[in-house]
Amino acid sequence: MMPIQVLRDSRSRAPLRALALGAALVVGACGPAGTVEIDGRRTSEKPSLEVKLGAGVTERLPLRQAASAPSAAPPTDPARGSAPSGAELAAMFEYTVPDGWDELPPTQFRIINLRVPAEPQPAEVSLTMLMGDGGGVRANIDRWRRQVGLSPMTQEEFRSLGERTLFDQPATYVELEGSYEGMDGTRISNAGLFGAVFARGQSALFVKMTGPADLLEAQRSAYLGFLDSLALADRPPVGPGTSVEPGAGAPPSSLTWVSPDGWTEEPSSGPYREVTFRKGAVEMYISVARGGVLANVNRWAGQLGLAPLDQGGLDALERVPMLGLSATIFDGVGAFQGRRDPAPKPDQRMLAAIVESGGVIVTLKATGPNVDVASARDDFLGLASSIGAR
Amino acid sequence: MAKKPTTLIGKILSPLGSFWLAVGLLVNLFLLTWLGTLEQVEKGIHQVQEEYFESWIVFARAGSLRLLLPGGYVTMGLFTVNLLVGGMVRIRKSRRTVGVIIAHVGIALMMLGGLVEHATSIYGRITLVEGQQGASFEEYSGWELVLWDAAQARDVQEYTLPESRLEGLDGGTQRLLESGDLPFRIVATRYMRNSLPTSVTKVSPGEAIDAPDYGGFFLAEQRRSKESEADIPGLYLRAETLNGRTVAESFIFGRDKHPLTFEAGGKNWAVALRHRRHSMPFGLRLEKFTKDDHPGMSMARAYSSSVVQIDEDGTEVPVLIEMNKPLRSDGLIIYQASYGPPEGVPGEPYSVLAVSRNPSDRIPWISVAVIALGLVWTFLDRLMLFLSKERRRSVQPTPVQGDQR
Repeated sequence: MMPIQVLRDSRSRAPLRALALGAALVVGACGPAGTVEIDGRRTSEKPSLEVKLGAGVTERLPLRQAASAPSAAPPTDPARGSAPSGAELAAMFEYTVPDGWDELPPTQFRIINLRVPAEPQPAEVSLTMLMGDGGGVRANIDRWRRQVGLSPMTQEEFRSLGERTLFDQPATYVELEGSYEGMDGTRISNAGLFGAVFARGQSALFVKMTGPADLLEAQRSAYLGFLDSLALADRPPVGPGTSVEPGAGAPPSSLTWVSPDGWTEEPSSGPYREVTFRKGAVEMYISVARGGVLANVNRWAGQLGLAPLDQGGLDALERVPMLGLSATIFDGVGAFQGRRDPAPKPDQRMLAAIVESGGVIVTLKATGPNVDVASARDDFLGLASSIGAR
Repeated sequence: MAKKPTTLIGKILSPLGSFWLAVGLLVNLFLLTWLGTLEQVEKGIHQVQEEYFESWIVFARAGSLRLLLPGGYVTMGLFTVNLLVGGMVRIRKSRRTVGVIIAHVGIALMMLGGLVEHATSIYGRITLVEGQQGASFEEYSGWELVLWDAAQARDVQEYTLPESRLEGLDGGTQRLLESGDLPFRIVATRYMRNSLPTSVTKVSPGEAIDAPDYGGFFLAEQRRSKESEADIPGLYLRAETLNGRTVAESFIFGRDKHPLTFEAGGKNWAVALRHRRHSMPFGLRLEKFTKDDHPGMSMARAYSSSVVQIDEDGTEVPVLIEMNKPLRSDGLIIYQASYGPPEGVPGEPYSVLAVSRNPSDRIPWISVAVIALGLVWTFLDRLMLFLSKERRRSVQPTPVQGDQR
C-alpha cells in the first residue's frame, strides 16, 4: 500500500504563530491600511472550488439565477398570484370610498376595485396583492413607469422616491405622467398614475390610480384620503383564503435564507410557512411555529409509522448549524400519511432540521419519495445553513 | 499569612497580593459571568464571550443600568498577579504553608492552561469517505483567503492569508495583499465577517446601499450570528498587476460556487474565501464507518469510525474512534462528530471527525491534581498539628485545684 502523502504547511507552527502575532500587532499599531504579505503556503490535492474562468457574480453566488437576477424575470404578475379570490381577500380590508367614486366588485386580482366616473375617460383605482415581495419595489415601479412610457429609474431616482404612510407604516409613493397603456390594453395619451407600494413580510400591496392626468390632479386629495382610510379588518378572511396572510397585517418575516439552485420558490402559503421550494416530487419549506423539538420529531416519526424517541434518542441525532443555533436533524423513511392523505404513501422520506428558541420552533422540512429526498440532501443542508435571522 | 512589607517594593506589591483584591476580583468575575449570561438572551455566546471575557473593559447591561466593569483580560491578569504575589511570593514560607503554596501553584497552572488554550487552540473537522485518506482539517469558524493558479487541477499550490489579516477593513480604507511569488497584488477594501449577497432590487426606496454592487448584487453586512460557524464572510477586492492595471474588481463570498478569476502574468488566477485549513502531522484513512440505529428507525444510537493512522514514514496503525473515545496523537484530539449519508440515501458512507489542537488539553487534569495535593497536604498538616496538640494536652498533668505550692 502506498504511504499517504502528508501535506504540510511550508513553515513550522511556532514561527507561524509568532509571525501572525507580530503581523497582527503591526497591523493593529498601523491601523487597517497598509501592506500585508501573503505568506501562507499549502499544497492541496485539488482546487478548493471548481474553477469557471470569467464567471460573473451571478454565476459564482449560490443563488437562483432566474429569479434573483434583477433583469432576469419581470415582476410577478397577478395572474400568477395566490389562489384565494379577490372577494375573499377583500374581506381583510376596511376603507372609505371617497364621495363620487364607484365601488366595483372585486376581480380575481383587484381586491379593491374602484372607479372615478368622468367623461370621456374615467379613472381607476385598484388594490392588488402579490405574494412575497411581488418582484421587488423597484421592479414594480419600473413596470409602472414603462406603462406610462418612462424609462426605468436610475439609482438616484430610486433612492429619492417619495414615501407615504400606509397601515401606519412607511410605503413607497410615486406620481407619474405619460402615455398610459394598461395591462388590459387601455390607452390614455395624457395620463397620470398615482401608486403606493407596501411590501412587508410575506406579501406586497399595490394601490394604483390611473386615468387622465387632469382628472387625477383633481382627485389627488380623494386618492390620498382613500390611502389613509385603508386598514386591516378585524375579521379574518373567509373561505379558502383563510390560510393567506397579508404582509400588511403580518409581522415582517424575521428569517433570511439563500434559495437553492434549481428549485421553484413559492411565497408563503399559510400562517406558519415562510417559504416553499419545489423540485420534482420533493417539497421543501421553512416554517415557524410554537412548540417543542421532541414533540415535533415524534409527530413526524408517527406520520412515517416509526417508533417515538425519548430525550436520549433525540440528543443522539445529527446536528447542523441553523439560525446560529444547533438544529436537530430528523431523517426518517416509511409510509407517510399526512393530515390530508387518505392512505399512507409507501417509501416516503422526511428530512427535517428543527431548532427551538424561546418556545418558537423554526423548521426546514423536505418530504417526498425516498430517493428524491435523499438526492436533495445537499440542497437541504445548504439551505439550512443559510437560514438566518434578520 | 503574608509577611508585613518592610521594603518599598514590598509596600507596592502588598495591595496587589492582598486578600481583598482577590475578593474584589472574584466579585467582578461573578458579575461578568452573571451579566454575560443574561446578555445571551439578546446576543450569541461568542459575541458575549468576546465582549465580557476577551476584553479589557466591559459596558455591561444590568437591566436599564450600564456598568463599566473590568473585562476578562484585566480581571484574569490581576488575578494572576494577585496569585503570584500573594500566594507564592509574599506568602510566609514555612512547613505550615507548603500545602497552600502547592494549591496556588495548581491554580496558576490551570490559569496558564487556559491562556495557552485561548491563544493556541484550533477546532475543526475532517470528512472522510470510506477508503479515503486525508491529512488536513478545516476550522469550524475560521476563514482564510486562498489564491491559486487556476490551471492547476492536482497538487494545487495555494497562497493563503488568514482572515485576521483582513479584519478592520470597513470600506473606508484599503490594504494591499501581495507576495513576491505572485505577479499581481490584491487590494482589499472591505471585509465583512458575516455577509449576505443581496440584489439591488431588494433594497427599499430611500434605503442606502453602503457597498458597491456588481452584476446587480452587493454584499450586505449582517450582524454576527449567535454561533460563529454560521457566519459567512465576504470581501470586496480589486486585483491589479504589479504595474497597477486593474484586472478584476468584485466581491467574493464565503459560499461562492466558483472562485473569482483574473489573468495576470500570463496565467489565470483564482481567489476565494474558505474555511481555514491546517495540516496534520499524520494522515487518516477511513476503513469503515459503523452506525448502530435505534430499533425500527434510521436514527443513530451510536456510531464509530475504524481508521488507520498513517505516520510520515508510512507506518500504519489501526484505530477505532468512537463517541467519547477520541484518538489522541501528536497534540491532536480527534473525535467522532457526525456521519452520512443517512440510511438508504445514495452515496458512499462518510464520517465527520472533529479535530482539536489544544496543547493544554491535559493541563486541567494536572492542575486539579496539584491543587488536590496541596489541599490534602494542608489538611493532613492541620490534622497532625491538631493530633499533636491533643496528645500534648492529654499527657500534661491536670493542675489540682487549691494546690498552689
